Amino acid sequence: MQETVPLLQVEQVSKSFGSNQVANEVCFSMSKGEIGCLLGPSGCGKTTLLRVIAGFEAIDRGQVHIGGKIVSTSNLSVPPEKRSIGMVFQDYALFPHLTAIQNIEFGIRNKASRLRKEKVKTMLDLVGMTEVANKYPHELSGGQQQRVALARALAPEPELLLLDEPFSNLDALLRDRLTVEVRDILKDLGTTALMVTHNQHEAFSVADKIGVLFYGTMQQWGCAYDVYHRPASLEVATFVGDGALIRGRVTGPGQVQSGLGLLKGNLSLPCESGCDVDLLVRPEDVLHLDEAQVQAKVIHKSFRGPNILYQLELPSGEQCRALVSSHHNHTIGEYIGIFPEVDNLVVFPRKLQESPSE
Amino acid sequence: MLSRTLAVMILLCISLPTYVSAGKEEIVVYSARNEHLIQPIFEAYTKKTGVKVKYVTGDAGALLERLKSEGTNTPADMFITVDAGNLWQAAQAGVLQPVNSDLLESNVPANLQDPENMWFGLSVRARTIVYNTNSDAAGKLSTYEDLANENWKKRLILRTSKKVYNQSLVASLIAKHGPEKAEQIVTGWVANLAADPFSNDTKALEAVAAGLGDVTVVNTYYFGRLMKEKPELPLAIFWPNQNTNGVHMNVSGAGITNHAKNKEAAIKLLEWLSGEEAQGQFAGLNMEYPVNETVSPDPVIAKWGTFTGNPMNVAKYGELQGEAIMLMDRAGYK
Amino acid sequence: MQRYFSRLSIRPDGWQLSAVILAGLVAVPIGIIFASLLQPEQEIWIHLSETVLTSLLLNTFWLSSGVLLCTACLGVSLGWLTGACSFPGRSFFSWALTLPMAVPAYVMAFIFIGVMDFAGPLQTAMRTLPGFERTIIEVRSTPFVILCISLTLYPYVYLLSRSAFLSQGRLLIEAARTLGLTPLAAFWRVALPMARPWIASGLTLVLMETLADFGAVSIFNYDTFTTAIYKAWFGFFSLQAAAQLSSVLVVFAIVLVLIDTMYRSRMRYFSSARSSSVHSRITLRGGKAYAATCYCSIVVIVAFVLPVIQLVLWVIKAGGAGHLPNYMTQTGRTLLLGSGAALLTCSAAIILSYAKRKSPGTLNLVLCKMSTLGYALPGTVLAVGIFLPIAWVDNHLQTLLQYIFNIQTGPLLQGTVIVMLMAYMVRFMAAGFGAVDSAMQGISPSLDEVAALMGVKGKKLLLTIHLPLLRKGLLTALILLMVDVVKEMPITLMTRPFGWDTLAIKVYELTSEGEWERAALPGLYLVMASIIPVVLLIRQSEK
Repeated sequence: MQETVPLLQVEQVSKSFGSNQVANEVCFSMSKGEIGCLLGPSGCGKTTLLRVIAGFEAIDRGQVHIGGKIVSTSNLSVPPEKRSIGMVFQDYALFPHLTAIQNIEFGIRNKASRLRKEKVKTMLDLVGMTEVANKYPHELSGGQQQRVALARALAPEPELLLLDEPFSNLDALLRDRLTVEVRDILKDLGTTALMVTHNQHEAFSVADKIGVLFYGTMQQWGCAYDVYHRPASLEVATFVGDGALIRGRVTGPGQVQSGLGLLKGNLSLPCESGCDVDLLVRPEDVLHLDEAQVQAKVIHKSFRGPNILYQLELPSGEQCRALVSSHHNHTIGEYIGIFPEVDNLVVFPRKLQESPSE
Repeated sequence: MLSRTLAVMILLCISLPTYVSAGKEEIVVYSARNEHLIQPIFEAYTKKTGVKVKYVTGDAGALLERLKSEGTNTPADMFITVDAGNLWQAAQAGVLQPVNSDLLESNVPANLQDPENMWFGLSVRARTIVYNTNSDAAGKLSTYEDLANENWKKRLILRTSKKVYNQSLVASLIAKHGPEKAEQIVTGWVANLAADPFSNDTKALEAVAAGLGDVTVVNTYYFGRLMKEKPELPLAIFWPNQNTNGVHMNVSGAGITNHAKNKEAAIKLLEWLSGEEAQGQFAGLNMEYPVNETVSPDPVIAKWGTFTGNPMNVAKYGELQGEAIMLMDRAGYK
Repeated sequence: MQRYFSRLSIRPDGWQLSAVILAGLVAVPIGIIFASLLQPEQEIWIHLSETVLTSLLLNTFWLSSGVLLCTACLGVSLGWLTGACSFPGRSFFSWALTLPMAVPAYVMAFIFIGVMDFAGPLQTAMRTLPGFERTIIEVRSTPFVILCISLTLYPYVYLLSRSAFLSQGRLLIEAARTLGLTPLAAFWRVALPMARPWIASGLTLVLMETLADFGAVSIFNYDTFTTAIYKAWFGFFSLQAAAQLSSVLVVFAIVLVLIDTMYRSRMRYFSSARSSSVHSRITLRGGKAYAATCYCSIVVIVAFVLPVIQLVLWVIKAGGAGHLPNYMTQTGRTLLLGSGAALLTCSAAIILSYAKRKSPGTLNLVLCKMSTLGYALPGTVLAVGIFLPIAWVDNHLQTLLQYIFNIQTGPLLQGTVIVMLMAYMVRFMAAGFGAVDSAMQGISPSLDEVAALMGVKGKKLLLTIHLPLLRKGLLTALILLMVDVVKEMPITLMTRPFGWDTLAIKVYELTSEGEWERAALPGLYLVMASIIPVVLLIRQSEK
């Protein structure tokens, strides 16, 4: 019975600043031990949602539950310090007047000194910061500050850890390493965590569940695979991953005729024959074969080590991208043969104003 | 912008009316006597003679230091200050020069001027006893020395020992009785205090009027000023030491500076200040007594009655001032 | 030579030169005071140490500790309430609480004594009550001196701590709350420790002013270390001994400045500029809001409204006696001097602070610290330290001119407004430099680097990048300076040109003769004159 109660439950939460609606009937929930991620472009309201959960912002409508207890409604807001949450801030917000160790101790100051010392040591070991324990924040690098901030947030063993763009100030290499590390740490501890980011790679590598937010509306809440391969809306499809939309027409069950030829697979929407749709084409769905039927013109290319990302112009005049092994090095302007290989046909009803140009 | 602002400011400072070199028709006075006490007199002098008088006021010690540091280039012709102690120090510092003037000799009594004519007293400030008329003090008062008597326990109010007037008073005790006896007297005073010493005479008078103590020692003009404002206060003057050495007298006075550029004009001003015309006003503005015996004091002051003053030369107070301060410190007189 | 410079990590350029010259100007008077130690006046020292020195030092200690404690409590609590909280009347109080700054300590002292001493109306009225006929409240005692001085000095701590709380932003407070702290606990454990440098520099100012105060304590006849200095000079007529005693204060100030520097050296307190754009206040409700409003009102009333009312009453009374001269000329001069000196000192503080930022070596640090020592000296003693070298230069200049051109010029520097302004600068550099430098430290160094990449450096960098960012800090510095200069008395007395009386001088002349009620009018003008900058600038900085 206990297990069925989600650790975090956000129900129909709405919030606006003046006329600016930053959260619109947002719903989602997370079970204990899950890592969630709110993904969306800048200004989509994801940070506000995080601050609502933390208790820094009141809500206009809806409810927030943490650990089965109501913490926010339109007329109630449990103060942040009573919510059993931890938070890692975008620029870490380490207390500049305290050393790394004092920062970590900060949230567990009421514990017995022996327990506290043990905990701090565990935390320092966990984030691998033992050697800089007595330094002040300004003496630490960005990555070190991040780890201390994480240790500080985790030390009080919060029920829920919130992370606000935690990796955005780090360089790419460090970010990749830290995201994996952080995920491992969180999983080791079994901590439930909710992270906000605009970077989908971060979201993919850390999260169990990803929520995509646009203009205050939760477009989709699901696992990474679903968000990528079964996007619930056009916005999600274009924001997540590197896809292109091309025109198509449903010609039969699981068949779409498009500029890439006839595609066969499972349609994401039940569509009748003759229906005009937009078809999502991911670069990895477009394969290269010199003798393929469809010849596309190379417009751009970017070398990525193992492969090359080609921007191609189809005979229909539309564009798509293809990820091709880097041994196949073609020059711009050249025509190359491509063929699609898609299992899930992600289609969206064609918007009316965009009438097919034939 | 920064440098332009600075430049403008510097220009502004230079172009402001600052110091204009003293011309023939100008006398420059450094005065430790307050502006409102000297300005009307200088105005009167300018009106009468056409000679302009410029002055700067300040602390006696600071002005003296200024005179010393300016040396031969000083713009000052005359130095006016209150208290013989300050005048004596100025003479000691060598910033004054002797003036031989028959007029001054006849206008200023010998005990109220420097024996070497470095300076001349211009007004007399008598430091006397004031008592609360509601108390039984009137019949018991006799001398300054008697205030050390145990009868006055918890009845005496004094001003701080840091004021030069009290330093001169104690100096006169030292001159008369010698340091040991003087210290006994001052210790007696301190033992009789009804409250910590006050920062000025007016506050001491008000405390006596309010009944905190019964007697105090103040300069008469503070009494005069206070009574003018609040005639209802139960205070009266007692002239002590009438059968011994007389009431303690001090002066405000002036001397001609050593490097005066307008010496003759300054001496004329000094002579005029000691003369009948100026004396009434010079003393009267502050309810002090004129030094010039031919001039009768202000009618208000005259009502306090006549008294015998201490004939000792006031220069002695300056000489003993340092000793007096040390003595008061030892006696615990704050 | 080059190597020598590089070891001191300075670049011998125009900024460096200006900094050296400015610090030198300030250092000369202090050096002269120190030079007095070469010829010790043993007799006076022995006398003082045998008699009054112990009690003077004890008094000074109690007074300083009391004033520090009082101003810290008042200043920080009020600064936090108006800077970080929200309650009815907050925006009014945020500037009204600085008003007591306009009341000079010596004016406050004579109001205190006038109203509350044994013969004053308060105790006289109290004695008419049954059961209180014999009660005496000793107003001229340590607690009341502390209260009197604290009420006029707390705005220093208030202003600085308020700007610290304002610049902190909400981020770190929020971080503390996610770690389980209530807003109040977050104040104690995060906001307050982070505001320490600001509070410390406010308290340093307070301590230096308290140590240098002579006017207020002498009205209370409360003997402190400055009493000994005045006694040595005006009693024993030994400037030498007075200067020696003053050098003790300088040494103390140096120690103070060093402790302050050491304490800050390891910690860096960049105000979190990014997050401060969204400043959320803690909204006080119900009883708490009521209490905050009451508390602020009481402070404003006791420290400002009542004293001003008393001054007005005295003015009316003196007016009845026909003593109401027009003080417009003095008011004009007071304001002119105040603004001139504030601008000059601020400019100098910017140059010093910028030179330090540009090449933060030991030399510049020492120069900056040195230039702030004038604050701890009693004005009169510092005035002499300023006056002696100027008189010396003047004398030699005149002799030279007479020798070469055979003209008699009279003093060229003495008694000019320039000397006056410079003297103010020496005295008040600490007030200006503290505010400017802490604001300068809040500007991220990467801004300089960005600007340098675009070819903007030196004067242009200062003007286009730093000055706009320093606006708040500069305004604070200007207020502090202007108000300080307007209230200043001994230096004005010593260095002013002929006939250049300011309001402070009028107050001094009348109070020194015990003419309290007549002193009320210039006192009132003085308060009003100080209010002008306080109100204008505070309102501006609120925008």
